[in-house]
Amino acid sequence: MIDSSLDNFNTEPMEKPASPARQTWKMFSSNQSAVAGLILLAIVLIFSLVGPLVYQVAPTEMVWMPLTPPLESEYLLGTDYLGRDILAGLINGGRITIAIGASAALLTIVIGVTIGALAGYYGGWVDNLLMRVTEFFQVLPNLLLAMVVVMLFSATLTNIAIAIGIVSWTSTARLTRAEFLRLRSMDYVRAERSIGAKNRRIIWAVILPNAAPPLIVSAALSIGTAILFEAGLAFLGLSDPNNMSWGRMIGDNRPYILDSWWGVTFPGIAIFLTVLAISLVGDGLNDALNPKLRKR
Amino acid sequence: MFHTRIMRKLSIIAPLAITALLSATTISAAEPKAGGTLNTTSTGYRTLNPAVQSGAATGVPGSQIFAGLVLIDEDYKATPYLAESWTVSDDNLTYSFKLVEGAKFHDGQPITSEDVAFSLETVKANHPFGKAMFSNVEAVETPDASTAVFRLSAPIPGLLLSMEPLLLPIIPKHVYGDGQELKKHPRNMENVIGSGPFKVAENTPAERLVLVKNEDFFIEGRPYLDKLVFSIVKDSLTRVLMMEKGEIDYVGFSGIRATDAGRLEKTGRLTVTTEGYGAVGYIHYLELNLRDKPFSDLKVREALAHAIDTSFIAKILFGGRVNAGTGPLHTGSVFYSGDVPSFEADLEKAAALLDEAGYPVGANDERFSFTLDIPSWAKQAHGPMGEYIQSQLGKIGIKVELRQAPDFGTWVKRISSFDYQATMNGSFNYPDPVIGVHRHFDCDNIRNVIWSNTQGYCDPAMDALLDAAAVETDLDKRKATYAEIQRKAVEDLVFIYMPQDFTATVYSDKVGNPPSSVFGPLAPWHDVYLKD
Repeated sequence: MIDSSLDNFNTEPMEKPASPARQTWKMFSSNQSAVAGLILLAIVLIFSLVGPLVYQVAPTEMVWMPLTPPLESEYLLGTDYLGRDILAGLINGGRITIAIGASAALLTIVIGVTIGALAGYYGGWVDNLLMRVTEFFQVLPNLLLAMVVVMLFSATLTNIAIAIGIVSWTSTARLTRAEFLRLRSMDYVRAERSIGAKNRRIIWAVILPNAAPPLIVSAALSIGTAILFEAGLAFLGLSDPNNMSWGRMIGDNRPYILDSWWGVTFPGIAIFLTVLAISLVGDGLNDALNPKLRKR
Repeated sequence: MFHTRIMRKLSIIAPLAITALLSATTISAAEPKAGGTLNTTSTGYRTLNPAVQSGAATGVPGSQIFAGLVLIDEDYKATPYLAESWTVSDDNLTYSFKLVEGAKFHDGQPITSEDVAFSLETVKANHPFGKAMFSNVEAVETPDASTAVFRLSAPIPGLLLSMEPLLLPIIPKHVYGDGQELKKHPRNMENVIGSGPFKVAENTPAERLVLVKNEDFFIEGRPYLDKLVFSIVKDSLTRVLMMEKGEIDYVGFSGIRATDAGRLEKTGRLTVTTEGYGAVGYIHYLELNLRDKPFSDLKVREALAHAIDTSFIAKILFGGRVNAGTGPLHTGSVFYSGDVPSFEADLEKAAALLDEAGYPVGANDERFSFTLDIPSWAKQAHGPMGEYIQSQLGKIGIKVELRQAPDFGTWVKRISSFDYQATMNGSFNYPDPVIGVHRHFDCDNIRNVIWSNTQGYCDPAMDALLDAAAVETDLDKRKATYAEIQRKAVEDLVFIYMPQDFTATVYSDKVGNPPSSVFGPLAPWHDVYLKD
C-alpha cells in the first residue's frame, strides 16, 4: 500500500506551484457566495459609474408632480417631495455614496495601519502611548463623535468622509499591531535587520506586505461600514445638501415616509445590496487570503 | 378727540365682554360639559415661565398656568380676564386696571396690583421683547390692592395686545420676588405657582407635563377640563401617528407638516384648520445680506424675486394649505395689506435683469454663486425651500451652495455677526407690528442680535413711516401707514417673502372649542371641553 502510493506520487509529473495571486483567485472563485458578491458589486459599480451617462436626468431637477408613486409616470421609481426623480437620485447618488465609502475606508486604513504598525513594531512606550490613544477613540461612541465632527466643520462630502475615517480606524490599528507583534520576531525580519536595514524599510517594505492579507479584508469590509455610517449620519440630518447620496435620500424622504414608501425604500435597497456585495467579497477574500484555509 | 372715543368704547366693551365670556358665545349646539383629560404633545421646554422666555414651547403650557390682565378676541379687541375693567386717559398715557375680586394664585394667596407691577418689571427686564413692548411704560402705580395704574411716557397703540397671558403673565411676587435671577429661578420649573385656569401636577422634563384644573379659578365654572397631559414628542411623524391612533386628541402650532394634513383628515375623525394664529403671524422669507454685492443691487434682488415662484412653493411644498405671503405682515393681521408690487414668476425676465445689472453668463454657464444658509430650527420648511431655490436659480445661471447649520447657535452666530450672504429665515409678527415687524426695518436696529435688522437695511423714509405707525392711535390712519410700509418693504425687496408657515390646529371630534384664538394655542384653554 505504502509503496504503491509512493510510486504514484513519483510518477505524477511535478506541477509548477501557482502564483499567490492565482491561488487566491482559485480559492476565491470556488466560493459561490463570494462570486455572487463580486457580480453584484460589478452591477452596482456599472449602475453608478456608467448610469449617469445613459440616464440623463439631473437628480436635483424637479421633473414631475411631487410624491408620484412608482410606475405612474415616465419616472419609473416615482418622485420625491420636490418632484425629483428617484431613479436619477439613485444613479447619481451611487457615485457619491461609493466615493464617500471608499475615501473614508482609505483614511481608516492609513490612520489605522500607521498607528498599528508603529505600536506593534517599536513596542515599549511607543506602543503604550499609541494604544492608549486608540483606546481613547474606542471608548467614545462612534456615531456621536462623528456627529460632533460633522457639526463642527459643516456637512460637506470631505468632512463626512473624514469624520467617518477618524472614528473607525481603531480596529484596523489593533489588527495591524497584532500582526506586527507576530511578525517582528520572524527570522526574515531578523535577517533583514542583521544586514543593516533601517526600521523604516523593515516596517513598510518587509513586514507590511506580509501582514497585508488580513488588512486587505479589513479595508474591503470598512467600505461597507463607511457606507452604512454615511447613511446613519444622513438619517440624522447630517448630509451634504449640495450632493445627492443614498444616505441623504433616506434622510430627506424620511419625514414623508407615510405618504411615499418609495422615497426611502429604493435608496435603502441600494445601500443594502451594495453593503451585502462588499461583505460577501470581503468574506471571500478572507477565506482566499488565509494560508491556513488554503492548505486544507 | 378720538382718544376719548376709544376710552368710551373700551369702557362700554369691558362689561359686555365679560358677560359674553361667561356665556361662552362660541359654542353653538352642544352644551359644554365639565370633566375629562385632554391628551396633547409638547416639543419640550426649558422653563414654564413665559415672563422670561418667548416661543410656543413655553408659551402653550405657560398660558394655561399663568393668567394675564386681558384676553384678545378674534377682532384683536381686548376683553376682560384678570382685569374686570379698565379706563384709558384722554392723552393715552394712563391705563387704570381694576382686578377681578377674590382672584387667587394656585397657593391660595390673593392676586394684587403689587403682583401686576412686579410682573411688568420682570417682563420688561427679562423677556426678549420686554423692551419693545413696554419701554414707554414708566411706572405701575398701586393705589390699592385691586387697582394697577400704568403711566406711559408716550402712547403705545398696541399696549392692550401685549397684556394677554403670553406676553404679560401675572406671576406671584411672593415667589419670584426673592432676589434670585429671574431667568434662572428654580421655581420656573419646580413647584410652579401660577394664576391661570390650570396648575402643575407633574413636571417630568423631556417626558411629560400634567396640568390639573384650578378649582379656585376666578372665572366661575371654568375650566371645563379636569386634566391636560402634554407628552414630550419632538418628531412630527410621531405626532401624526399618535393622532391617527387616538393617543392624543389635539396638536397645535407647527406640530405637523402640511403634507400630512390630508392623511389626518381622511380618518374622518380629525379636523385640520389654519384658522387663528393671526397674532402669532409666522412668516418665512429669504434674507439677503444687503451690505455686499451682488445683493446690494436691487436689480439682482428683483431677478431673484422673478425666479422664485412662491405660489409653487405654497402649492407643492405646503400642499396648498398656506398663503403664498406677500410682505412683512401675516395675512391674519388687522394691518395686512395685499396692495404691494408683485413679481410674476418669469425666468426670462430674471435673466434679463441679471444681464442689465452686469452679471452676464460667464464660464460654466454661471453668472455668480452664493452660499445659502439653512437654519436648523424650522428645517422641515426651510430645507425644501432652499432646495427649490437652488434648483430654480440654477436655471438662470446662479449657483447656490446650500449650507445646513448643524445647530441653532452656529446659525445665530453667523447671521448676527453679518457673516453670511443669504439665509432662509422666518419670524413672528406678534399681535402688534411694533413687536414683530419694526425690528427688521429700523435703521437703529442693525444690531448683532438675531431677528433684528441683520440684513442691514436702512432708509430714512422707512424709519419715518415706522416712527409714525408706532405712536398713531387712530386705527384707520395706522392701517394706512402700515399699508405704505408693506408696499415699501416689498418694493425695496428688503426680504424675498416666502409662503407663510403652516401653523395649524389638529383636533379630534371629541374636542369642543379647540384652542384656535388669534394666538392659536398660546391663550388659556378654559373653554375647551371634551364631548361624550
